Amino acid sequence: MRFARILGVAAIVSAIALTPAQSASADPFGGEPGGYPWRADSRDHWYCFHPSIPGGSQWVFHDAMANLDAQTVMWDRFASSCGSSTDIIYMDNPDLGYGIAGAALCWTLAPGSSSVCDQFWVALDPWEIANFWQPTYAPLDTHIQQNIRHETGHTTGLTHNGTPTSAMRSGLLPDLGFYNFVWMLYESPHHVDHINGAY
Amino acid sequence: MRNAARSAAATAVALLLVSACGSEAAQRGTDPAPAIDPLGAKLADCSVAEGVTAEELSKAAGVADTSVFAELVNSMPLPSLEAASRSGERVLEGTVSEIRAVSAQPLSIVPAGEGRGAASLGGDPMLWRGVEIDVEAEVGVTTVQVPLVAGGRDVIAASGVEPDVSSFESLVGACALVITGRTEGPTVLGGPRLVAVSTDQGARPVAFDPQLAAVVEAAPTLRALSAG
Repeated sequence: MRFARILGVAAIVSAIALTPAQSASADPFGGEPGGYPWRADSRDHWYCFHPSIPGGSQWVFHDAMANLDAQTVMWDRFASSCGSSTDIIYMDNPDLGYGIAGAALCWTLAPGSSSVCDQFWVALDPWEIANFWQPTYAPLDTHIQQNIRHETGHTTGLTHNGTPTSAMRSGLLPDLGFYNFVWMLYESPHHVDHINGAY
Repeated sequence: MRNAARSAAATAVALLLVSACGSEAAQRGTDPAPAIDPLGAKLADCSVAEGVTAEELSKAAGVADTSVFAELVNSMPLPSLEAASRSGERVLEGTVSEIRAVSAQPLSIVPAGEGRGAASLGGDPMLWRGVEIDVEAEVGVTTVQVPLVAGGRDVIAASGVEPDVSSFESLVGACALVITGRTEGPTVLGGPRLVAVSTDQGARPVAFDPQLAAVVEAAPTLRALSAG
């Protein structure tokens, strides 16, 4: 199963090589000086759902974590209930604020560290995306899925950066037609190198 | 066109989420746009300290724009003041009267009932640290919360981010345009937002809220921005 997933994503990752790539040293990473302040505590990335995530939409989150697993050295680990050792608690919050699609906040640090996060809370507001989305942009479901991957990327230490076409782009997404799949991916080798180098 | 887009968007969200919340999306997507308040008399009173220029105001705005908190949030550029205020918020004009440092206030990040968020998931709360900016308008004082970092208690403490009020002091006395918040309770994300500041109502506005930067930069003066 995991092998098949890797094969599938590998084909897409090959296609993303069409986009310009930056080196991993071009922007800061979580826990590095001047970078996003936090990164995850290990390559085992445990995640769970707050009750606000409806059962019918959980596949989108599983898909996002599977992509992280397939693209990088990190492992997607699902926990059916949230606990202190869970790395990400996903939650839907329809009242995050105007134009705020999501936030990845570190709730508690790993023992003895000031930059390694033990648990992130990731809040998402797909309704807010729907409020501002227009048909001239990439499809709405692309935005909603990209938003989850974007915030998940933050939990690994990825930052917003100048990368024009990747899951880490902030805000509304231009419609790239057939190439809209690039919004679903962490840029390779740039983002992938960041993550693989850190874990 | 916009209504059609909103309708399509709400439908797509409902299909994707397969949740009861879909009806809320539809409801939010059809909220009527409120009227923008007319220019208030308070703008005439704004007066920055001697020597304060638009560049100084830009520098203060940049502190928030480049903060750790700005890196934590995925936000979308808002197309207009109307879009940013269409759920009942009002656009107010006034003057910046006071700035305070805030060390650890609850941040509503957890979904809760009645449209209001909570800061805690049964343990220590999520907190934010930054500054509060009071804007005095005809209707009274509106407090804008500007987070510079957010996280759990130990995260905030270890962040090394200390709000420096002096970085924002040039704003005191500046003309300001504020959108009132829609959420009561412990929140910054849904609270009042400082859209723009200027040294004079007839001067070019300086964007304070990055989500509205394009709208602000397109306006020749703060007065013109306020008038829409």
